[in-house]
Amino acid sequence: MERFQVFDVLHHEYLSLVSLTLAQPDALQELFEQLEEKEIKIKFLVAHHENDGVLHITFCVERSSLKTTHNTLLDLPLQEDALDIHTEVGMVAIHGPHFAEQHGIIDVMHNALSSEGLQVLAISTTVSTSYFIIPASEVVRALEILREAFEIPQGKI
Amino acid sequence: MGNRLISGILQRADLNAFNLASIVETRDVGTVLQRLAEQRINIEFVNQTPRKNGYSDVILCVDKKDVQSTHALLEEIKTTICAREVSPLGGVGILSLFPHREHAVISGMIMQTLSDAHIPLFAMASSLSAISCVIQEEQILEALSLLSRKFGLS
Repeated sequence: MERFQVFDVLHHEYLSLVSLTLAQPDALQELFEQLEEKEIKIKFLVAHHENDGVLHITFCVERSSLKTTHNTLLDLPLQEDALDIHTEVGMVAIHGPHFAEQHGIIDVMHNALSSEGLQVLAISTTVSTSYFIIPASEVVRALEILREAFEIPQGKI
Repeated sequence: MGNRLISGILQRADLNAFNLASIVETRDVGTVLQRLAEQRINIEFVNQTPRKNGYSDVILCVDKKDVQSTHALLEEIKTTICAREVSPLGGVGILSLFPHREHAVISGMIMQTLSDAHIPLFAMASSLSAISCVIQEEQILEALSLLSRKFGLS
């Protein structure tokens, strides 16, 4: 079977994932301003609103920035169960041609990883990149799986 | 702070969004992607957000021409994938602000700008270079104008 060709495969093994559930997302601008002032980079972000206006936001920071991020979050008026942290996560991503030119490319990536038992914690897919957040301990194995699943130019993984 | 954090905003119209609430298993998300791929329906945007209870919510966007077949397919597999709810969100567009260079402040500025204008932000996702926002179709131009002003592009 012909394999999809991608431009490159990206990865990061040393991330932490932070999930927040907020009924009043007004404090978010201040939170992100504080993270910016502390030079904390957002490596991944997904968010969505529920019908009732509750916001679910998940983002990743470098693991070395987690303590500072956590302390910043504790200044927010959060409800007790509004914060969830996965300390050791990683990311694998494909960057390819416009996905409209290659129907099913995300299915191939998801199927390749999940059929080997990898847990996918979060996904962000837009025009030509797809990021999957997985347990950090699985990143090396995930890269091997993606190497088999896709046609990747030499040196681009 | 707001000036030239980003260089531009791309817009994509003629899309429809669906919300798949409370999917449990990784393989169920895979089922959705597989069935859409089998019908050659291109997914323009996918956002899987984990919930504390182990569930995930999925927001996906497809071209308007595919809305009926996508809706029918999602309803068909709704029980298979154990989604609590499959909700069509109607016509949407996507604004992609680039480049974000992993700046934390950009996400907050986007959310606050849209919130102040009472423009619902259905979903948001980062990629290699852009932060994309899914917004109701009718409010795309207003959102574009507000965000352009906020980031000093107009």
